[in-house]
Amino acid sequence: MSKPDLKTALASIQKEESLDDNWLSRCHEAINQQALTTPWYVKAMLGFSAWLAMVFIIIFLFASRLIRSEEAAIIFGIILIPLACLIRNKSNHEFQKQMALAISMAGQTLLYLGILVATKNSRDSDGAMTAAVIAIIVSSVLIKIYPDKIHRFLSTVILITAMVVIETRLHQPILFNVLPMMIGALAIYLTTHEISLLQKSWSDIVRPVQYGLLFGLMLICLPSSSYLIREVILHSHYYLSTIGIGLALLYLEYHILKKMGYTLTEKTSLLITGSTIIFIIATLQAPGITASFLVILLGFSSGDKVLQGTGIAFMAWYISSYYYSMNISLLEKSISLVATGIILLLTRKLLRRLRASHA
Amino acid sequence: MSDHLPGDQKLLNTLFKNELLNVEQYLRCKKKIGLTPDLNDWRLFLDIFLLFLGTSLLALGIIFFFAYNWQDLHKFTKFALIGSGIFCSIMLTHLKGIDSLGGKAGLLIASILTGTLLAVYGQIYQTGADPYQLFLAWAAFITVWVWIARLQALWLILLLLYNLALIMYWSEFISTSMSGSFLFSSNPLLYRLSGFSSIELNELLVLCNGLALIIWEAALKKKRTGFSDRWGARVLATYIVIMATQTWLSMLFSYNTETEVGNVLAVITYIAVITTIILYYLSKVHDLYMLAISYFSITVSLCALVGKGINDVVAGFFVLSFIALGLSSAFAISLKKTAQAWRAEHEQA
Repeated sequence: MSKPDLKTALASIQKEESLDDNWLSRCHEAINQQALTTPWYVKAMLGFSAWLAMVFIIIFLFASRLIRSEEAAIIFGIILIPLACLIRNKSNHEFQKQMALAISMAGQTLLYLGILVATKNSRDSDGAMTAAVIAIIVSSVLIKIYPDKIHRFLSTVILITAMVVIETRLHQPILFNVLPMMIGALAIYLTTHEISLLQKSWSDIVRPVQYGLLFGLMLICLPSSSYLIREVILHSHYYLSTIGIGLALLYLEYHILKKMGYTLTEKTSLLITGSTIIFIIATLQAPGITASFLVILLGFSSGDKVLQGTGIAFMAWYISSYYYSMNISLLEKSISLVATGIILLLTRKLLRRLRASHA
Repeated sequence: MSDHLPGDQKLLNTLFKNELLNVEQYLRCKKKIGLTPDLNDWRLFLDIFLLFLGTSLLALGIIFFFAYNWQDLHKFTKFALIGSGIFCSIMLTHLKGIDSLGGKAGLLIASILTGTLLAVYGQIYQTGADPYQLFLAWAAFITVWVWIARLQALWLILLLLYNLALIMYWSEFISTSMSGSFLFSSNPLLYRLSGFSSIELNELLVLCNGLALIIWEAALKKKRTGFSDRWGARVLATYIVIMATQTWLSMLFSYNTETEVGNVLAVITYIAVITTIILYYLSKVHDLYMLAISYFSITVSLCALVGKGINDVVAGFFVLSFIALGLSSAFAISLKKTAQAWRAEHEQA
């Protein structure tokens, strides 16, 4: 059965609570005054165009010889980022918005590259590490002060990338695998604490940061899907990532079950929790699969179809690439896949049976 | 869950921030419009998700099992295995009915397995057939199923097969000088598919797929069974715009100058495709996505045109950055105005 639109829902609330017509007309007025939300593909178009402009700006700065050294790059970066913030905060016009976005991205690229090159040959500091720490600080500040959804999304992705760089430079696989759990937990927090964040007027920040976190989570799981990268580049214990994301996933399931009125000791809760644990164990070496499951669940619980679609696409990618590149025999892959498939189908059957017995 | 408008969450937040809704009303409103799933929504979601994922993993596991034993299997066993897969899929369609989700999935699997059967046949008997013949035969065999399945995904697969057959035929018999991308040089199929250099082939692909899009839109307009939403048309239009833009860029940067006629046609094709899409989706069918991809294509194409023409690198890139920003901003404003006009039109109706 299709559900009503917003205006119909408001009308039914008015009826249920016997609110006056003035309340409804004020609601309608607020809705009509609100500009239309930009669809994701228009945001993507604007994002790509800003990246294109950013590349042209950087080439221009280098070609014009305005930047001849890493110090000059850093100085330009330091000038361009606040300039972008100023333009964006002063104007809401589309051209200024796009220009500010491109200038900010160009400034950040120059700043991080400048720091990377300047400290590369230094004995006392690690260039990549220094650039990453600066990137974390700058991105965190920009998420708060730069009032633009695309920019906040990009800043979150840059922040996560910088964290990965730091953890890779520290050569601590444990740390590398803790990050996905932290990101997953933060994304869950943003969904489950929606009301309190709204009351603190954080609503404009929450959604782009959540998108950035989940997109970043999908990205940092990418190395696990390639056998080549797994073995040659990172030497990481991916099962730790899976356990971390799995714990976040179990917490989310617990939260949803509680919201739906189930206690932990009920058969339905036990069945869902048990099959999730088996699913996590079966995909222990593929954190991307558990992560995309988390994204799908978060997308569904917040009625967000873009998140659901992204999660499904990534899940298809992770399942196919993981099983294709896994360094075990085809027979072992076959057993693992069949076992997981049967467990999921059995879970479905048992859930239906439980539902029928309750009805 | 309902197909709520993408802006509903933002509108709700606005009402909450303006203190027109309290916490309890906000949550109830979210539930009413389907932004928060209720118990039934969760049950349906879990049911579909577990069925889909469980079946996919099980099917993959079975495929891997046979792949493990493939070399040791007798040729007739191989044919029997794939054949029985096709038979079971068709039986599933028969039992569940053509209009059910299971029935459609059955025809989808049978269509894919037909290609596997043809490939295995060619492999065992070393038929020496050209690759285009495989794709053409595959497409021909499944055409009737696609017709009766009335599933957009299957129509797209059929179109993909005809596209592949055409590309293979072209690279085999008409233009063997397609350079392809070095990135895909290790894989013959991908190498041929990445043949960005044949302008004439791209023009032909744009023309064929353009015709397919016209038929697709007609089916959507007449509300033919299976053509209830626009995602298939959007995928097809995206492919056409990418091919037309690629043709234009190839011509511009002279990756292939086989014939002058082809170059002139590339310009005409590009202008015709973009103009038609913009005019049609502005006036006849309201689809913001189609306008957005066309506008983005124009931004890229104009940047390429200006970039090609400039002699002064310094000034050129400075100007280019402004062109990219100016065009994308202008298009964003235009898209917003268009959406507002459509909304007003919709509310009046």
